[in-house]
Amino acid sequence: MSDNAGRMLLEVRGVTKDYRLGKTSIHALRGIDLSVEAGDFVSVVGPSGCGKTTLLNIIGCIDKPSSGKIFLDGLDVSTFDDNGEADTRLARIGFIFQSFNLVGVLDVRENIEFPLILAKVPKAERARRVDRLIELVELGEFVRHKPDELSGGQRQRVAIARALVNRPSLVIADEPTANLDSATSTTIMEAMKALNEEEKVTFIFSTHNELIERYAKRILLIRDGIIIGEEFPGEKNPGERRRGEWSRGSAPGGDSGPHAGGGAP
Amino acid sequence: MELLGIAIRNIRRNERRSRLTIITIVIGVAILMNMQGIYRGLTTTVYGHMMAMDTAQVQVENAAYRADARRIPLDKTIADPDAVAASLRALPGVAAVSERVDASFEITNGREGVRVMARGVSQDEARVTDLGRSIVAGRLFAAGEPGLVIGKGMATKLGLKVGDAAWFTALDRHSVRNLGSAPVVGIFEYGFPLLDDYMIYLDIDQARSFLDLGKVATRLVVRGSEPRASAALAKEIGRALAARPDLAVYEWKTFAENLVSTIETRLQLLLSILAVLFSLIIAGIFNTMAMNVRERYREIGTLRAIGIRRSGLEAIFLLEGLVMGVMGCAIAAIPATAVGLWLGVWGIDISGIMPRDIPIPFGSVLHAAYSPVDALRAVAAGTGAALLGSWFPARRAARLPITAAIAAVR
Amino acid sequence: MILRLALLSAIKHWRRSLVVAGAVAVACAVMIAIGSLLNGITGSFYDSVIPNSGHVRIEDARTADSLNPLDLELLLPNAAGLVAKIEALGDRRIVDVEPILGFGALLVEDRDVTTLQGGQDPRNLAMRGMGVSPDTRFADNVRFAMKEGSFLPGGRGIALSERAARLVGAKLGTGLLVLVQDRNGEPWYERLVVTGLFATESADFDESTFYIAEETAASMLDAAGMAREVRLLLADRNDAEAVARELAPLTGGGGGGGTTLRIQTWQTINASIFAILLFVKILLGIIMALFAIVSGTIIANSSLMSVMERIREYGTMRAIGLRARSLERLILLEGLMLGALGAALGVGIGFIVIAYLSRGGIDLGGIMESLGLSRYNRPRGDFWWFAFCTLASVVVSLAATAKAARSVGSMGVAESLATSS
Ligand SMILES: Nc1ncnc2c1ncn2[C@@H]1O[C@H](COP(=O)(O)OP(=O)(O)O)[C@@H](O)[C@H]1O
Ligand SMILES: [Mg+2]
Repeated sequence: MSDNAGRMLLEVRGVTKDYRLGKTSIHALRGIDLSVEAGDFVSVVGPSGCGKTTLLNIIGCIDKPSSGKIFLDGLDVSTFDDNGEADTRLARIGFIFQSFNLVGVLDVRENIEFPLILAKVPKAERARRVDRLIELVELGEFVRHKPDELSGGQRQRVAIARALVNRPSLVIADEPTANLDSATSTTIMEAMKALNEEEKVTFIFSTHNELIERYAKRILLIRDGIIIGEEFPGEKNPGERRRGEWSRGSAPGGDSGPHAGGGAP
Repeated sequence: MELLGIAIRNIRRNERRSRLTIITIVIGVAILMNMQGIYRGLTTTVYGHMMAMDTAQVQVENAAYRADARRIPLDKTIADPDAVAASLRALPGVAAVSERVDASFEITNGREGVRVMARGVSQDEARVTDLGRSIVAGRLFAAGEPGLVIGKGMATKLGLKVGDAAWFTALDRHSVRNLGSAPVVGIFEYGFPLLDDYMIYLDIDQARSFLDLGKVATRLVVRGSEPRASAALAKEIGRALAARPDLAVYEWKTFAENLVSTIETRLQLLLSILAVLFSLIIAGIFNTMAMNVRERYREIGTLRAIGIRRSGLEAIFLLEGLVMGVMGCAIAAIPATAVGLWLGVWGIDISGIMPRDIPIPFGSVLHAAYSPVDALRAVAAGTGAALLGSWFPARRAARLPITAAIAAVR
Repeated sequence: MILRLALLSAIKHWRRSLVVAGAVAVACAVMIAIGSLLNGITGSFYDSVIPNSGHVRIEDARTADSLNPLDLELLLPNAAGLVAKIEALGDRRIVDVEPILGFGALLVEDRDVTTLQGGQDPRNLAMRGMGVSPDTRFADNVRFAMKEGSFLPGGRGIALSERAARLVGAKLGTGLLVLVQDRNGEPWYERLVVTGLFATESADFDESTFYIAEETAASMLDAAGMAREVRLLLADRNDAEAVARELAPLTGGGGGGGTTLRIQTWQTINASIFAILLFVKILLGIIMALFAIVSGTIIANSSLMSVMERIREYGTMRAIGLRARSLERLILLEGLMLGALGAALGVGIGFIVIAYLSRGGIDLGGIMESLGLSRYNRPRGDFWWFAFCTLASVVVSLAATAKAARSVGSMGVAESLATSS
């Protein structure tokens, strides 16, 4: 949880990513340049298949770019080896997944505690931090529940707590609300927003739900592997025209929340 | 037919897993295929040798003889052997009957003496055992002729050749030691040290007079017209002699109890081990198939939604198991046939491995004896195991409610 | 926590865990049972056959090739002198040295016995007599199998088996004629009282061997100071070859006037048993290997499946910061636990099987008796064998899990997260 807001946290320089599929290769990312300051709340938006997951994976050190560099806290993580990446993820990055990805055999408390154990945090300290996060995500009465005894929203709150427990510089959330209904999506986004404002946690999340993207301070529009535009919803009358380039109606299904017309937050 | 195609494609989809499963089937089937042949080869060789060299198929003795057999008693004999033999020859399944007088002799070349088993035999002996064919020097004595046929091992050790005189002593019926002598007229070699070293043959009437016996016999030895049907033959002879409580009828196995019990207990051990092995294999297949079903919940739901019947679905999974079983059998056939050819055609030369003094007439080369039934049985066991292992998972797949199957995330 | 995680995963997928543990258990139990069976055979061989036949044996060199191993020509002329010389060595490794006088004899029912019915001829039985010291160390199988009477009390009488006694119509306390030919070829007989009846585990042995005092035998055979063989009992059977080598100078001519002696160790004496044991060992070894392969395959398959099924979970853990190595270790840990569980089960099952089988013993067939072994084999559990089987089971399940662990460890994090299994 970064305290010095405004500091440059993440820099992405000329990142491309190609996948080989048999004889053809897919250019999932064609040259991404991006800077994110600490304390920011960034949304990556674009239709399915545009490269959102690929970009977030590369930023989160769980995938390597084909070319280009990523600096996280000033460190060139693209040169790290496997263990270096793992340690970076452990210390600096939190993940929130679309399908929650909790460890099924562990209960709520243990799921949140898990990264701390990996980081070899002493037991007392672990308990303290986990308690605080449980309070923060309001799961106090569910600490002994297993993931399959929780609702989707509760599960995602566990995931958020787990992502935050190691005090990462950056939390990456790939379509965190895609498996949730719209009401729950809203509470999750509110929770993230609150964490961003009160705890100064830096978030980068992806979505193709307009309702959700509006929570961001900054929206990156991606299409076919490149950033085609940027919006700042906080500012008055942002570039509607850019949005017109891709039709809302064609936004693919998969997100369970109904499209609530033009309802803005 | 379409189902078969689907099954094969599904097996190929999880190639590594299928391969591991098939390996277990291959091992089980290959072992089963060869074990039967080896076992049959072993028993037919050993049992065949035993019958051909010594016991024939069925023997008739004085009912009191068996309990005292160890001391080779001369007082527990068949009083009217010729009459009994004649009645046996009249039976349909009987090919030949020979009379024998057994006694313990001591034979010497003048310097060394050795205790041997002496067997007074009639000319029929050549028709119930292989004695006639096993004579490697000289000939069999004629009826009533004083002469000995001795084993090759004994001849070598005592330095006796055909034409040499041999001296022998034995206790007669009254426990009086008699001394006799006769020329060696023939030398036999069975390739079985216990007989080659310690058995001599002489004419039955010569033996009777030397032992002061009347026209009695220790035993009647019967060869049937059907070599494998010893038990049936024994039963038939037993019925024919039902009116003679003083006589007892035995199948040859009685006289090779050590041998038979040894081989048969080995078989039981091997069978129980094989059973455990196959239950392991079945468990492995069950595991694989259960996994297959779980993994394809969604696909199962879709197939059912499209309209496939429960039985059709069950058939797909059973077919998958069956195809793996058949593939396992097909692959197993390669090593099994290779080993089978090797063992069946060339055999293993075990004369060097087995110590000479083992009381088992292996012969010198062990041949496996295969029959097409072996392969069938092994294939049946392999595919049976595969089907059995697939059975429950297949049923489970078929019973799955459609909605649950479709909704399953994983 | 990692341990707990592995444990919980194993419990959650209990059915597959059961298959894995079951496969390990079955293989382990089979190995234990087979090994114990072998151990039972070799054990009874070492315990009964070898101490009875002696660790080192000195005999006439011609004995091995002789048609009649009981030929009196083959007696050692100065066995007593040889024994004295060996005793004079004062070698600590040698526990006992004894001359044994084996001979062929005919036991004949005593005509004077009042129970004999008139007109019936006396029964007789050709046997091998053993002239031994009354407190011999080389007849334990008999001395500890006495049913009536005792073993040559005060050197008197004859000890034979119940079976043999029945065959010649003798009972404890009745007389028995022992007929021999002495060294000069003269027939000789002695009437001995049955002072002991025994029943060993081997019918073959029982029907072929009787014991009398060495003195009696020597006087009957006119063979004072002679013996068929001199047997040595050693404190440690592994010293046999060394002792045999050191005895060689003693037997060079000095042991017997003119005859060549041969020193045999228990290994050469029992060469044919060893050949058979080796054969059996190879066969059982192959069976054990097959079980290891089959259950290894099943374990490999199961762990591969369970790993692939949880690949996303593993991806998540790695995204959170778990190192690839630690993940592999986690998976191996699960394999280890299941292997250990299976091995423990296997040991339990093996124990029960052994206990069950050793109550009645396994019938290994009559040939065992011909070899001087007991026909009914009681499997013997051996601590080290149990330990070895346990270890082997765990190693096999670890090895079978290793492949699955490596395939997950080497998979990209993004890729495993994207896998929908
Ligand atoms: N592992 C992969 N192998 C091949 N192509 C991939 C892989 N992952 C993603 N892609 C392709 O890269 C493109 C971007 O994918 P992704 O980043 O998942 O898009 P999004 O998250 O925006 O839906 C898509 O065209 C997708 O098909
Ligand atoms: Mg995506």
